[in-house]
Amino acid sequence: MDLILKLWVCIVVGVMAIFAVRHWLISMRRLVGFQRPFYHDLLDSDLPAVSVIVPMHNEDMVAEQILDALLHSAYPKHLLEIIPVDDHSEDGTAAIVRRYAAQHAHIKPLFRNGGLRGKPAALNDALAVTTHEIVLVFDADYTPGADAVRALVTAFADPEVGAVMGRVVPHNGRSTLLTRLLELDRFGGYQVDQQTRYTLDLVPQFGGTAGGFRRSVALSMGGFAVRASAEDTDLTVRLYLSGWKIAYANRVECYEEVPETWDARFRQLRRWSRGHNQVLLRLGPSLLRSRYLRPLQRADALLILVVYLVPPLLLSALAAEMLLFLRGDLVLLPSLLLALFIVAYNEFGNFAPFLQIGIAGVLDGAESRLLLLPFFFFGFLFNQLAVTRGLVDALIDVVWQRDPEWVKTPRFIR
Amino acid sequence: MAIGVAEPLPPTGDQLAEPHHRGGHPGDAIAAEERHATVPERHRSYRRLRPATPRSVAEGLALLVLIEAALVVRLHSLSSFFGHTALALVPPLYPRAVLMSDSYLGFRLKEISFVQASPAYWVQLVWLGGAVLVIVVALTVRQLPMPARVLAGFAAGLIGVSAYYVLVAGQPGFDGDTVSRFYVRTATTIWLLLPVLLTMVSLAVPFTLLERVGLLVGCLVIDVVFSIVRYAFFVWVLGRAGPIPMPMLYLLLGPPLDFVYVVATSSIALAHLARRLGHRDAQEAWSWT
Repeated sequence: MDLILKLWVCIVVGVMAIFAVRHWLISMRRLVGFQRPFYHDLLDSDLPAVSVIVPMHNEDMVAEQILDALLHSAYPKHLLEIIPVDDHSEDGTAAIVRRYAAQHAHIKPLFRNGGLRGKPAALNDALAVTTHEIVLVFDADYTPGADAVRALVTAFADPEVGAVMGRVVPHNGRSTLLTRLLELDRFGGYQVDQQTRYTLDLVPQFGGTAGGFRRSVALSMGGFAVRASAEDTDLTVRLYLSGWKIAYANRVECYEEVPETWDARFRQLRRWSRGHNQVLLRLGPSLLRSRYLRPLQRADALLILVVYLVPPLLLSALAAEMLLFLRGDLVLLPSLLLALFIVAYNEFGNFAPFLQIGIAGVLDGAESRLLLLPFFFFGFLFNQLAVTRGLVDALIDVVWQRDPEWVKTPRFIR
Repeated sequence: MAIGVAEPLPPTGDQLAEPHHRGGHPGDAIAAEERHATVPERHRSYRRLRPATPRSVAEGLALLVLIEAALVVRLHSLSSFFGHTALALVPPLYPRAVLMSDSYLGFRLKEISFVQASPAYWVQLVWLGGAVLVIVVALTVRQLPMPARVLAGFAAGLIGVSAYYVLVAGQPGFDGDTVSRFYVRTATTIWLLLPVLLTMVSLAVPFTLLERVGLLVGCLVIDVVFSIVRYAFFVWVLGRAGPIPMPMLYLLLGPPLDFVYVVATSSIALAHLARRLGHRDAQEAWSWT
């Protein structure tokens, strides 16, 4: 019994050590190495026509903000088609969308009152009515800069690029302690992790918003998986499985609203974990066999996909440690390393470990905000619980073929 | 499609807020403006820091060797200071706690030897009932912040499992001396490990030698001080309340807390570095590929 428990703790420590090495290498590479530029360093004088989809469900607090931001885009209006998708809203979203559509001919709204609710289904319906090959997606709480559409679209000048992703920056980062921590988390995740994966030609992710894809490619793959809770991860993996590349535009900043309450954050994390693990269970094996990915890319993709399995693993290792402690058989070094990894890596809910956030903070000039880093420790168990609940959801979804329940993150704009 | 080299994008709010041109002679203003007009603004997305030089790497490694050597040579004295100070901090216990010696990795360490209380059967039941009560409160009182509720529930869960184990098995697999020895060995390993960890983290970061010394020594000093306080607290709890809360204390306030010190000290160092560098040392970080 004790031997099995010790072995389990050692295995978990081994898995965490692999992640630690990855994070260290990526952080160091971002800190001092040359970075791969994004395509907007090129000027395309022959701009393609673009469809911009904005899925909305009860978004009357933010609908005007995103539509105004898109209307102020520097992209030529005759090449731009904005499709706000009102997805079963019960508030004033539909009225706002109608008002904007009446004033601007290139806003072509889509109203969904029947069928399955949720972002993947809304995107599929919108794809059916888009008329352009390049499709960008912005969630309703996002505020793209004036140059965002033009910069993102440039990536598609490369015929190998199937999707593009911009950098997400919280605009309400100073609201609460939680938003301050999430702002740091985003710094690390984009400025360091995504950028280095793009530089090293690994597998940067398409985040489902603040980015875009080729319409024909999405349709050829059957559109978005309506049963998926993380349609972005699903599309990312299917793009790589089909041999496409994803470009990351660190320079193209898009401002988002992060959850301001712990309850909202819990639901968001749980949904991400559920969706991510669904993709792992469905597409993980195919990813390992993919003929389009190099071994390093495969390893990177695998590490990204299993990232939401780590919290349950850590919880199980903690339980094993507890039993070993009670039986007076705790082994010093593994228990020490487990504690180290819990604090240095997983306290951040798997998104960006301490070192990545610290380095991103230095690069971004975060200065005094970096002093909040130790506060992440208090969210450690919270993150573990949310992610583990998401894993349980995913297992139930896969085993019982349960229909998805799309959980929308509440808005906090004041 | 016709592709050419792009003109610089207009500066964003972020760029405009950046103090790109700190100091300088007022007469340089026009020249600076001209440069401004022709050189693309440096955006934070393209930043990187100056790469580590052989000299800075050598300095970092030499400092590591120096600190490790000092630790190895003075570990006996450090352990003696650790043990004596912790013993002085422990409130009076009965029977009296005393210092004992232990041999670990070839070092002679000082640890506190004491007899832990053996809680009566009804006290064990109270621990178990109390843990269940806290879990129920954590699950139901939604006015408290969720992380606090989860943390309280987890801590109570650990105490509940421990109380149940003691109720069923009669006694846990450790006594006071065993836990004490384990704690001192853990602390010693962490002291030896900390400089290595911090050097790994900071080697490629452009800290000055002084900052590097401050980071390593500061973190070590903070860890030693708080380890002493925690050790005294653990011994007192174990001596007065018995073994039931010990797994919770070790798993929540044991080694994880040592690494929180590392994160805290490093965050101070990184915040200082970010402030010192401003954006002056940031280089253009891209090249044509």
